[in-house]
Amino acid sequence: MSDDGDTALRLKMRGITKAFPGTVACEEIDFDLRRGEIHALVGQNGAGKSTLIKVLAGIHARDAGQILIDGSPVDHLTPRLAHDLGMRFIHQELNLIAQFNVAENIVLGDPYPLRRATRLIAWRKLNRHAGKILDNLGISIDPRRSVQSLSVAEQWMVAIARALYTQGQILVMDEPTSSLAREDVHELFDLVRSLTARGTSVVYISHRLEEIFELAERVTVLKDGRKVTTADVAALSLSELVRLMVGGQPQELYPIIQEDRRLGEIALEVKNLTSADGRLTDLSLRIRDGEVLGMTGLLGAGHNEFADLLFGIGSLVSGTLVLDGRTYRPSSARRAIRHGVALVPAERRSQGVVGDMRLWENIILAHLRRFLLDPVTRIIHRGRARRAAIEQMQALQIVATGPEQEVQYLSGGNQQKAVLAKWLLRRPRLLVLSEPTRGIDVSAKAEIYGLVRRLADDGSTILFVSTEAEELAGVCDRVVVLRRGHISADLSRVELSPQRIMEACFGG
Amino acid sequence: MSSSKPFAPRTTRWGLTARILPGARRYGIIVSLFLLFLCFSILRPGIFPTIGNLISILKQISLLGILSAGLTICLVVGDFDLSVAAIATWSGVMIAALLPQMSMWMAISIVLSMGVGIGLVNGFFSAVVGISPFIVTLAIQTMLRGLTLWYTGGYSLYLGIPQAFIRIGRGTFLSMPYLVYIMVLVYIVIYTATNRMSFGKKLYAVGGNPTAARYSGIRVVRIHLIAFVISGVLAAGTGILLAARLSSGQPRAGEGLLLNAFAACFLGATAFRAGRFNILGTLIGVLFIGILNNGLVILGVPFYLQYVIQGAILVLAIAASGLARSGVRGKVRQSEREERQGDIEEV
Amino acid sequence: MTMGRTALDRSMKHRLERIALGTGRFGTVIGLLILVVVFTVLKPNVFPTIRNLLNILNQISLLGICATGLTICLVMKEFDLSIGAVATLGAVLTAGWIPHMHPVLAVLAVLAVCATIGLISGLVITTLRVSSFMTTLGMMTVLTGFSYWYTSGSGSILYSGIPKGFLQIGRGAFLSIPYLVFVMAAVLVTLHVLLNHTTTGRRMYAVGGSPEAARFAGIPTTRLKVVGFMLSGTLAGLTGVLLVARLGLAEPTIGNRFLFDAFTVAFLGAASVYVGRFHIVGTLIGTLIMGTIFNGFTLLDVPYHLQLVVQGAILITAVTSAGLWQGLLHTVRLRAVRQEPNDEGEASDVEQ
Repeated sequence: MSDDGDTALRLKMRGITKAFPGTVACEEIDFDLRRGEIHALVGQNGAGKSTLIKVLAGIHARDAGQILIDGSPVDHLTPRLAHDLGMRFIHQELNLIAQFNVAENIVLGDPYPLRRATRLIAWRKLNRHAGKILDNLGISIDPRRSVQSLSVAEQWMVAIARALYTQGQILVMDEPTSSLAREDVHELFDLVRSLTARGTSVVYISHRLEEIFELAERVTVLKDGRKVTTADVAALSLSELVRLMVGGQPQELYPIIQEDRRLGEIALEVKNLTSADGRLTDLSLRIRDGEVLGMTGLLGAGHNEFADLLFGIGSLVSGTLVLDGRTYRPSSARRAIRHGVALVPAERRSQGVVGDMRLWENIILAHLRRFLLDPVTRIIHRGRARRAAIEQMQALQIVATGPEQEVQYLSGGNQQKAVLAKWLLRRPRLLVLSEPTRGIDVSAKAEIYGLVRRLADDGSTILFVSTEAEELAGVCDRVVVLRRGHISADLSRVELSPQRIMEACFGG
Repeated sequence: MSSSKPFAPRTTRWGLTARILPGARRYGIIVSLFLLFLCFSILRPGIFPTIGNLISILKQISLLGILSAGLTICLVVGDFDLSVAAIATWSGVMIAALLPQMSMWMAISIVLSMGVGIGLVNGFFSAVVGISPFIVTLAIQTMLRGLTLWYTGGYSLYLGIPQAFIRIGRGTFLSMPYLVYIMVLVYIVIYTATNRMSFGKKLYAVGGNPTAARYSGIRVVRIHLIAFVISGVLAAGTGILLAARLSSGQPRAGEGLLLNAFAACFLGATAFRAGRFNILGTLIGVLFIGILNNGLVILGVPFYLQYVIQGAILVLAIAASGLARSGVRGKVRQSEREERQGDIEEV
Repeated sequence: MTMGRTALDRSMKHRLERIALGTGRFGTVIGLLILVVVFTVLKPNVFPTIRNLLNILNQISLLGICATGLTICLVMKEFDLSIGAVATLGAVLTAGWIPHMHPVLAVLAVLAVCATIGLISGLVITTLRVSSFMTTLGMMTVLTGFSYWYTSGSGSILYSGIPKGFLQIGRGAFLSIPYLVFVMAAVLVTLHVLLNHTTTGRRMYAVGGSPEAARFAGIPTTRLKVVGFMLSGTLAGLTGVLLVARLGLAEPTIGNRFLFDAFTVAFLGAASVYVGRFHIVGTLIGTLIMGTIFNGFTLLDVPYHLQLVVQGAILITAVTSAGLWQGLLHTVRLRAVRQEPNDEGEASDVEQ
């Protein structure tokens, strides 16, 4: 059955099914792409977006279904074939070769220009080609620079340049804006629009739903491996979209915060903090018991460094930290922990959990001493440890087959909860959350927000560092905005709104 | 409504295969061990499966076993210790040199401390300075070889070795050689340390994700140092026992141990939880090598053919564990890796 | 105002840093030069002569060839532990076959066998996705056994029937430069060009840099790795062939020392010039260092075991300073990406 509509479609995926042992990642998914359109792909973790894209990229082999490019079916996709068919992918991990310079990364996978006589690489021609492509895209990076010396945003630009090095008809971007600053995001959007004006089709995957509304024409929603619907973006509202992704009743994302909460004593006082790397200059602030203090800024403003510094990573040149009235000098993570400071790091997979260890092992990892049979033999009391893990699993609603499951098999949201559980076990004096909901699906986010408020209501002191203005406005009692290393705004609950936060980031 | 499901099984096409294959992968090496045992028992029924021969096997692998146990600890944290054999050789020579001059326990303590010292040096350069352990231990083992040659001039040291010492290496209790008891003791201690003690959790955490370990308050550098020290001490112990068994300190004693120790550890890593080094697996690996050697000797296979067969079986064993993971049409292992790259991702 | 002193401190630190960065890359080269100076001073009549230099080159030529093959594997982050055994096999087979057939045919046959061994190793490692460490270890054991078996009939040494012409290759010279040096030079240049100026070579670097990124970009990772192992095997085999040409005999431990030596030399190389990466020029530098030590110590009558100790010490020193250099570079890079806080304009993005 072939509609004549089909040939007008750049890409048509029909009935794509892909299973892994123990789960079906994609089940009978249909997806199509028109010429020159921007088509968003959304869904929670485990919904199947990544797998679908990897099937299209030839990285996974599909179990069933058809893929048609410009109306012709394609079997046995490999990354090479996908490339030859005009598909270009920018995966979340960027996949640049750190040792190479920009030019070689741009040409990666494509033939190098060769000298006619010797058939050896013509380096100058390569640099010229690369330079041309960068210029066409309005990117001013010297192609001879080493990729390692670039910032993340610049690396993203290189990844785009690579994708566009040879003429591609389909461009797939997976979470392109998670590491970009606002200005760069707008540049990216302009770039995408210019591409589609020339006829390229773009598949845009993102968790940032507001971007979808700004950029995409159609959106396909996946849920639990199946397609829920494909709709025109203009016909949807944000809450409807969320409902489609999550199913059931629309849920309130952010918990209700009482006005005029009674806060306790000053838990942490920071006086004139200047960091060694020059990020923070003369920073001063206070956090009270039971307060959820938000901290944000543009990329590079210093908020992430502050979080790390509190935890003993990085060093300060001058200034003092006073925790519960006593001077606090965090020289290492271990020291920080001993003083009762806990950090849920921004990169959960590489910094938060030990993937191939079990859930219970990860949960007790920061507090092994509590589960010793006796201090001499230092043998772990497994029963106590498992019970503690199960308690945490229930309290935080961590979904796993049991405390014995290896953490790498949990979804992102549950892994994050495992990291939280690890710290809550120690009842930390100060809990620092660094980008706690990055890359987590909507319902897990809501649960984490609720958890944060509950902890605060119980008297915990929380520093919530994030670059998502919406969640800061929704979860925090106060938000401190950093700009170039010092505080540019201190917004109380009444003044809090995403717009106000963004303005303060830019210096309004 | 709660967050995404974990990988709870839905009806899948894999069904039975999904349940058998992980099991096959996990116990493949143990099965091969029994098959090997069976083979030799069938081929030489009167000689191979006798108590005497089994004890002989255990005696032969005891030293390899102790050495491999220490190596396993290093491999768990991701450090390749290439110097273990050289440490053993050096220790064998040193103990033979010291024994004539002082009490036995004094000599043993000194040599063991040397093992600690070398381990610390290894650990210092790899964990503190940050050089790849492969190269550090390669350099150290070169230096040790040179020192050993220098000290012995190529000759064995066999004078003045007390009977008490030799008895450790050759004596028996209830017909089981002391060496075997020592090996068993070592394995019990190491097993407890890695599987039951908090140290073991820290060890595997550092090996699995050093950054996360550090962010959880574990002193990563210290763990690496301890790992190298354990490896060094057990290597030194192996050398001491080797000298006891040979009743001399021989400058070429450690040859062949390095290869076999790594082989045993890697074979062991295919058991139980694939890809992870573990002490029980190493024990299985050591038994595997021991049974193989013993059987080939009993069959009268000339030594060069033994090499060939050992090497071939090693490669086959590794390949088979890789295949067991791959399963039907080579899909399963590939898929598991994809699975980890795929939906569990942040997106 | 605190600016004054800190600014001065900063500029001093920067200057020291810049010096360290400049020299760190060439640490091993400097080390080599120091060695040369020391030996020249100690043996002024013998050491710094052309003849001795050629002697050094001659002595290291075989190691250089073997280590170059290994370097290619190491570039792709694979270990080939079988090179010693393959060299032995090459030698043994050459000594065994050359009396019975035309030397060129014999050599080609031997190289073909060794290439096939590399092919087998490569295929096992890539298609079954098993560790190269273990597979080449196993291969090494098998080949060692085979070499013992092959030479067992002749009392373990093969030496008869080797044609004079063949021995000339190993011992003769052209314009006073030994043929073996020419061979080494040819191998080095060819593989350097292959690795650095051809698509295949650059893709091999890509595979070593990030195997996933390479695969996703459509680079045929498997094929490249297999080629790597084949090259390593072939060059190790060539080493064996030339061993026979030089020594006129073959016995089953003849290739043993190449294993550790080649790794030492390759790692010394990774500590030089393009620090942190394996590359042919570096391997050459490492080889020269080892050859110089060996030569100098022999001239000074220093016993072999002391050479071993010094070799190990130099390796550690070289790699340590290279490591420190890399750390320094990283810090400076991070700082360069972030501008100084007193600059105007927005601070540039921070690496997450």
